[in-house]
Amino acid sequence: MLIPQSSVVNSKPLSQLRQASALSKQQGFSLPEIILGLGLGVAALAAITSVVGYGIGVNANLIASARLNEEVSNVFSLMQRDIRRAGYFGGTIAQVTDPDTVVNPFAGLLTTSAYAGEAANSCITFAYDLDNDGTLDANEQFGYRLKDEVLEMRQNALLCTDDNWLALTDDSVVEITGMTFTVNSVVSGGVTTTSVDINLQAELDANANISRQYATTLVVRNYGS
Amino acid sequence: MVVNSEARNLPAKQRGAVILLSVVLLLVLVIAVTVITGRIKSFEHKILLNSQSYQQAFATAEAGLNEGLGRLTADPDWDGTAMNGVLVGFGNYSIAGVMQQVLRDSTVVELFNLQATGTSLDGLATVTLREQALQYSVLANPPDVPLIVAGGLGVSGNFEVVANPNGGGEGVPLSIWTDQAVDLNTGSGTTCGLQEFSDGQCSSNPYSENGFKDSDILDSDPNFPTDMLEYLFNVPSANWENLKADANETATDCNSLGPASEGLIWIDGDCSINAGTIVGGQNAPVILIVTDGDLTMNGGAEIWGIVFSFRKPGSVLDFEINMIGGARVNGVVASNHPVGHSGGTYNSVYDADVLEALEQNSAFRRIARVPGSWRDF
Repeated sequence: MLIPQSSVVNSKPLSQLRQASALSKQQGFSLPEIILGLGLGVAALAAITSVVGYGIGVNANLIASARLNEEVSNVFSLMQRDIRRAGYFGGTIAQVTDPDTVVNPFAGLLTTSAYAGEAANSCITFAYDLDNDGTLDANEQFGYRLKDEVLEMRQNALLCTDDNWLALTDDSVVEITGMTFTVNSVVSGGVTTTSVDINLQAELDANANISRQYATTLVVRNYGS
Repeated sequence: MVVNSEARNLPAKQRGAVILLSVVLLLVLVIAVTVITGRIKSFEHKILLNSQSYQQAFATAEAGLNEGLGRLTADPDWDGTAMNGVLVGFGNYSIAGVMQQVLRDSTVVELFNLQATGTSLDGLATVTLREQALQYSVLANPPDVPLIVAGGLGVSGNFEVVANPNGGGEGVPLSIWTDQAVDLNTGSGTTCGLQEFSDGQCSSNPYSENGFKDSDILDSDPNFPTDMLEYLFNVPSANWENLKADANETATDCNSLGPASEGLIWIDGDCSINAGTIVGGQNAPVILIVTDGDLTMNGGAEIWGIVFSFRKPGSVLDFEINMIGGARVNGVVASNHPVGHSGGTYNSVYDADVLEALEQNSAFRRIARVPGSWRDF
């Protein structure tokens, strides 16, 4: 059976008809419109990105300074608490019983010096009776020093001039730019009071603009002969 | 087919999607970074708070320790029962002490083990401090001779001294101890035993008297201490301020002294005791230190304890001790300078009970920290 041609022509799919009408609505953008639109978009994005970048930068700085604070202030308070104990002696009862024979082996060991090439008085050594047995052992000789921008702790009764101390700070994060210990003795009414001034400066390895300075004076309780 | 047609419509309706999406993404990024920073900062803040709590606890523990030492100083009979206190704005503390008797040579000294615990205001940090304190008598060396004079007794003075019956050892009486020779041929003085003195027979039954010097007078002694203040009180003469600071009472004259006086009394200048006044008592004796001044005791006046006439280093003046009309010291009279150059009478009666009370009475006990005993671990 033949289909009349007219009916074939008139039977276009509905979708094609719709497409034609949509295309007629979307006339497209002219070139200036696109350039302007793109420009505005890029400008807005750039502005927002810079604000965001600034915010992230501020946050990064905060985190970095927090890192510096934590690292240095903890080491600083550790030193403070440790130095304050200098001279403790577990055998004081024996000393009271026989002061002529029993002498405190931990007294008089608080001294300052420096590792070769470091600033003067950047190393402090002292001792206290950690195990309370009245005998000066190798692990009861303590000290702190500055070496190559790293704060180090004494171990195995090493000297200030020796190597192989234990590093307390990480030189890839924090640089200790300066540290000095000053031991002051004041005699008043026949009683000697010993105090230690500690001054510590540190900065961030990644950003030298972030730096901290810590300073304190503490009384060494057991130095009152 | 309908869906397809709507998808084709999208670009026309949502022109700002790229920017919106980017902004939202960036916003999320910023928020995430800020949250991380906030966490790190709050962690740092916690560390800061913890170290502040530690400082508070440490300060309160120190306060407790000092309160314990203060309590012992003010009240040497404190048995170490725990005391609690509050350091306003810092926290609270408790302090307790354990007394330990330590044998030292032939004596027993009392050692206090003090333990203070301080807690911070938020209760998170606790610090325990320990320190030892030594109780000692201000009189380091109780003298066993009733009259001790550095520089010698002048011949124009006069003395009546009742000897310590065991001063030179068991049964060996000692009455005068000096580094210079005592001239009894020109000077006048009498020494006798306690029984004879009680019976009023000191002058009729003496150990030594004018013209006769017995072994109870230990003179020209090469072992005589060079520093009397150090010998008696363990304080070198140059540091006499330390002893003055230890005194229970300081004054510039002796007008206020009487039976109720007790402890170490430090007088700057002349000291005159009125007739009939009794200073101290047999069980509550005094240590009277008269510095750079004359000591005059008028008729019937008595002092129980030790009288020490002290000339400060650097002074060249002469000071005198004069006990008029039977005035006397029951205990020990000591001087770190010569006496008897311009008259002067010294009557000293050795009394073992008084010396014992001097060693034991709490008024003479002092507290000292034991160096090397402080610890916080």
